Amino acid sequence: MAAITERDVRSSVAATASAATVCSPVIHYLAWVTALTVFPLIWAGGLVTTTKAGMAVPDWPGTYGYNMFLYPWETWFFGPWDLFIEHGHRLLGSLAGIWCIGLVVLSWSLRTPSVVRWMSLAALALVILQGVMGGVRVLQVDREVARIHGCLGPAFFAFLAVLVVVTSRWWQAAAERGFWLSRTEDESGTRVGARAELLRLRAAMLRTLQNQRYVTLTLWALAYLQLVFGASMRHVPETADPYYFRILVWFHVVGAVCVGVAAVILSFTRGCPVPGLCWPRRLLLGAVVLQIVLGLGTWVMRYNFPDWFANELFAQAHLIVSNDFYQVQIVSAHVALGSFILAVGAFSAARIWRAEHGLRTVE
Amino acid sequence: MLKHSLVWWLLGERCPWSARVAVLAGRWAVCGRDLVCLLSVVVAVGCTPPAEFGDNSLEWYKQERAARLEPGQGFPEVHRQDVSDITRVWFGTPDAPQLPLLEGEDDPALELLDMGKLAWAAGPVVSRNEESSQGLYRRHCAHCHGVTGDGRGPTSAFLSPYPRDFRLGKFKFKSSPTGTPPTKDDLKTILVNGIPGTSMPSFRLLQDEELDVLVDYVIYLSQRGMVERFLIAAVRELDEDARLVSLPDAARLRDLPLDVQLGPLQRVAPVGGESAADRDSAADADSVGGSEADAKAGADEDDGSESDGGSGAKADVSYDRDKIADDLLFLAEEQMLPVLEKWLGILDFEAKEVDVPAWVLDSRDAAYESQVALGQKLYFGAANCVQCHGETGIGDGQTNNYDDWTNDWLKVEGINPTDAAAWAPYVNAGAHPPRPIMPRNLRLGVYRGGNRPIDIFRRIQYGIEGTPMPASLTLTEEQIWALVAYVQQLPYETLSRPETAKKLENERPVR
Repeated sequence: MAAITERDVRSSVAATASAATVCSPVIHYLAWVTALTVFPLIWAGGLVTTTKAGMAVPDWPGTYGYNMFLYPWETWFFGPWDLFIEHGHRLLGSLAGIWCIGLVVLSWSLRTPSVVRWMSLAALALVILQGVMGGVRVLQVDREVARIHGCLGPAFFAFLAVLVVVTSRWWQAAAERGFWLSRTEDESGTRVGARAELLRLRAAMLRTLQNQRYVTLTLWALAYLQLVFGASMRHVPETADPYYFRILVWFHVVGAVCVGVAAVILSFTRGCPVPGLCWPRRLLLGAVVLQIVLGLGTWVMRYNFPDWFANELFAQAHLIVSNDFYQVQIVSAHVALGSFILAVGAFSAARIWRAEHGLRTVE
Repeated sequence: MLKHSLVWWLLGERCPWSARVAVLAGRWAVCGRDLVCLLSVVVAVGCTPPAEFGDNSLEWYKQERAARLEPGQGFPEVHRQDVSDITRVWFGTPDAPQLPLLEGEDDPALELLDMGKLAWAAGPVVSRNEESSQGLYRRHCAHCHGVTGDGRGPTSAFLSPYPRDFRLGKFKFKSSPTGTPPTKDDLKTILVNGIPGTSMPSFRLLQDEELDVLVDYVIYLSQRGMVERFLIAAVRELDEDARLVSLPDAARLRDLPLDVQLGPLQRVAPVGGESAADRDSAADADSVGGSEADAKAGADEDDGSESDGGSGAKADVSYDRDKIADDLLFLAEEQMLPVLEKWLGILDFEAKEVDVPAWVLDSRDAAYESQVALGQKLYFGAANCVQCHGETGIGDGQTNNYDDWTNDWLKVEGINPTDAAAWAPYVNAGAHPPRPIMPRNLRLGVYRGGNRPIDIFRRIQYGIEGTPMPASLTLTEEQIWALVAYVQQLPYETLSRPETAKKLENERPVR
């Protein structure tokens, strides 16, 4: 069975490029830019929470009485860390908002599939909601709102990942007949098999895609649940009962095991019937492995090694330094990578769904 | 089986399932509120509960058991309310701390603690300007040590050792003798250095002034907790119908005007003007029901219904102002002043200057070997370090001891710490499950109180307060230094030496 190559996709895309429902590449690039802005935004948000700098600026939407964009940059850039990271987080959020406005303007002014138009609007609504939540958290001095703010951000990032897929040429190509015809040619370009053989091939590909979709979506859901538990641990009220935090930790640990198991199962759903499905899956698996390592690192950098290592020199000599570079970066990287997993998972699931959908609809 | 496993995971430790279920059920009511927040899918502004100093429910339960009250029968509720009201009016709230002052602005308590620093450390984390943030304690400490300083912050159950409970007024690593509080420098040193091998971090990245602020607030919490414990203990001594303050029936002290609540005490407004508590109280000064309020509005929400509901009764409350003032003065002198005086002692305390002998720092010194040999002899002999730290020094001697924070309630009824069913009620009342305290493994070369020779010297000289590590009352300074030298070379010594150790142990005088 011949593997489909990028050349096949390009040729099939070229054949369908003139279709009226193709999204403008500008929108696709802007979706990428927005997503690439949101990732550091989430990382910065993680830094804000890790260093508890969220209340460094007491007012909102202004900054110490200034319009946010007119706040003296020297004071911001050379000021205390708390101010630097919190105000920087706001500026990055504003930038993401501007990109979302651009997406809406472009998608509603150019010839664009309606799904992209509405998704752009939804992205703008989400970024506004997220910004307002951040503001409410500051004005109300409420950690519960901070937790919801922390859970909504990664969901927004995952939504943007889907938007990137939906606005891509790949998305359009996967629904075209030409995309799938090449799948039924051998290396010399000759059509293989009779119709019955083609139908068997299609059924096998659908099964693979379906399995991958189920597992990817399960992994995504588990990862999001993990994120909610993680956010709840990071924003736990100081007055909370110790057993509440304990329950959260255990759920987070059990959730990590579940995500790991889902990742292992995903790695067994082999076969990439379509190009563009393999690398997101590999990236997802790699990110899950790295995330588990970072999770362990986060615990050690926050709370030291468990008692199992009571007689080990490395554990006893380990000194936690509050808010030092390694602690802050490892903990924040754990937060950011969690969002990254969600985004890649959403990206992968969207592509799998589209491939499955395309294969079902072509004759 | 699944339930059993789940409960096992949730609680950890070695604990039978019945005790786990009992503990979980006990905590469920508290956790339920938080879980509702966790599971809420809508924006629930105000779900975060306001910070309040929690009552010392463990001490109440302990005193109830010590008073041999029947199971299920506790002290009357008015006693709890009296202690809560008195500590509240004396020490304020987590958002608006106060100090009980008998001499106003001249009170010596203000020499120890700075009201401005307390205000800086207290309250939620907010910023008034670009340079610094308020609420340093909740930002850096409360997650482990708890808002009340009871060592029951949200993360505490997982940490080993458990975070320090300040309310006993005991601190492990200090330069002052056993039984005396640590100096401010001692507390600051711990903040700067952290404690390796534990969850206590180093806060060396904080500004020096911020560290001072935290030190003051820790002392404040410790004082508050100690006074509360003494007041609870005083309740046990009361006659059946008596109260700590002369109030009729179920009337509460907090419902009276502030000047009556304060009695002989005075208040000093924190830096930056009068406190929110004073503002509110001033407004209510002529009316009944002038209780304190928090700097952050809403802290009294849960009391609101109580106050409203009782407003009719409050108008009818008749009280003897002078009698209440006398009661409060008596309580202040009996329960509060001893605590404050104990802490004030650190103002005059100066750690004795100790010169580190040259041979301790230089193993090539001619005297070094002989001193190490002397130290070894003391280790197995007069100092009896071997009993806990073991023959090889790896801390495998006596490992079934408990620290004072556990023994404080464990010994009330002589509870067997391995009998989880026996200690489960105490855990429900607010204790952490007991964990034996492990002697230090001296061969790792890491000492929690500091690695300098003078740090080890102090640990041997004064012991480690609250732990089985005793002060060496009979050893001379020279002998202690010999022990320091011996302990310091243990990580570099081969394990063949235990054979020698056994011989030495056999030579130990029979006790």
